[in-house]
Amino acid sequence: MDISEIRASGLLEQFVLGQLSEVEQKQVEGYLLQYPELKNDLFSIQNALQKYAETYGIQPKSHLEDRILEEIRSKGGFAKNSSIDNKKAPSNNKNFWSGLSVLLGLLVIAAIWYSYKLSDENKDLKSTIQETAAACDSLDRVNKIYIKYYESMLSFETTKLDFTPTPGYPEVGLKFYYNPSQKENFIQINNLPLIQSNQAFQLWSLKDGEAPIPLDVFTGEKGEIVPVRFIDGTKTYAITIEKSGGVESPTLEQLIGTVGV
Amino acid sequence: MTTDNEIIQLIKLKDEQGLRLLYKHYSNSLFGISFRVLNNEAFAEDALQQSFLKIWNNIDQYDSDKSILFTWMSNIVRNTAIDIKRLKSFAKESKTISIEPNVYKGEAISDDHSKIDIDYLLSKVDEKYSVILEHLYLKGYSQSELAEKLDLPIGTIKTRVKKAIDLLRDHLRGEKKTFFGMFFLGTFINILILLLWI
Repeated sequence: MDISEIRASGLLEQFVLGQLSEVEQKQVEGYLLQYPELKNDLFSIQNALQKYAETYGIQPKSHLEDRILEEIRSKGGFAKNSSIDNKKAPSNNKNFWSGLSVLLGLLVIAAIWYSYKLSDENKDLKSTIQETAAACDSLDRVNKIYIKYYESMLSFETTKLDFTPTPGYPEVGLKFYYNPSQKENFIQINNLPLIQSNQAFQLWSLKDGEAPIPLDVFTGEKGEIVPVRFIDGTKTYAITIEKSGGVESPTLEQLIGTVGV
Repeated sequence: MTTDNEIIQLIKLKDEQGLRLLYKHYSNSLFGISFRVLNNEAFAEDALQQSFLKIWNNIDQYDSDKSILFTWMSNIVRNTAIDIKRLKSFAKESKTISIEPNVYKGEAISDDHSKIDIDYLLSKVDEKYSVILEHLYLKGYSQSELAEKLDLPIGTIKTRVKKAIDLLRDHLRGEKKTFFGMFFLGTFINILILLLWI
């Protein structure tokens, strides 16, 4: 047969469909060797049938792919260095990057937490600094006051006197700083008798022929300096133990000491 | 776009990706054949599974000089399905499924322009030809079996086979011509616009 007769015979179509006997198949294979251009016909027929099969394709259920892959995998069919494995290597890389990103995430969280903590500590420190500054200011003010007291107490115009304890209170140890030019008085506490919590010490101004004038009420500890009022014309200052807040008339039974000026 | 050669090389290297690509591109077409031979979904799945295993194991036997990949694979699927059909267990357990399977226009490794539109194809291929193709190519009948089934002389079957395939080839050639015609027309218009712009 020549090439056109072969094309017209339908042998190629039946060859592709696998409908030929072995003898006929050999015959066609011979024709294909004899007429290489017949291969184009052969592939054209195959392509046409492939399109036909695609048109009538049916989608299998989704589990089938996994079944097939699993069967081949279970038989050790896949190469260890397959691109899927290579993709798994990226997958390992992926795991690496995932791990790294998690780590970075944790670091960021830790940094935020640390920053937050530092911020808190910073706030605490600021607060402490403010408190300390306030305390310093306060101490500074107190110091200034004490400096003023000391300046006054150390002034040449100041007379330093001792309170004379009464017989019932021999333990009393008080210094009295008397400055008539500045009209300032200070009491420096060395020792005072024990009193109850609802009691305090009260200073009195005593003048001739007049009732005692109630002055400052105070409590204090050893070393403390208490500024007290200056009253013109006072002959003697006296201290009694009275109830907290003071009284208008002294309790003479609780007179602990006096100092004449 | 993945080519058959790339898939073949991957499978020869026993690369899992090759099998995945093969399945992605050809499972619908091949399952269509398997299902039509067996007319039973479970058996058709078994046939396709066995076929993929054969394809995987015997890829070295594929000769691209003799056939395209799909032809080689479709023969494996058809023969595997026919072998299952001949088993006693199949005759005993299979149940005829009356529901027509959903026709699926699967993704294939081919030029998109040559994809056949099913309605167009059916209108082009007379039923007497499409029945022949369906039985011989999709359902795995031999020509003598089909001649007996349709009560036609075997010569008529052979003639109609050729005619049916010729119609398909003509249709594809027409599609290609249309594609290339549109391609060249588009190129010409683009050049014209470019020249006018300059």
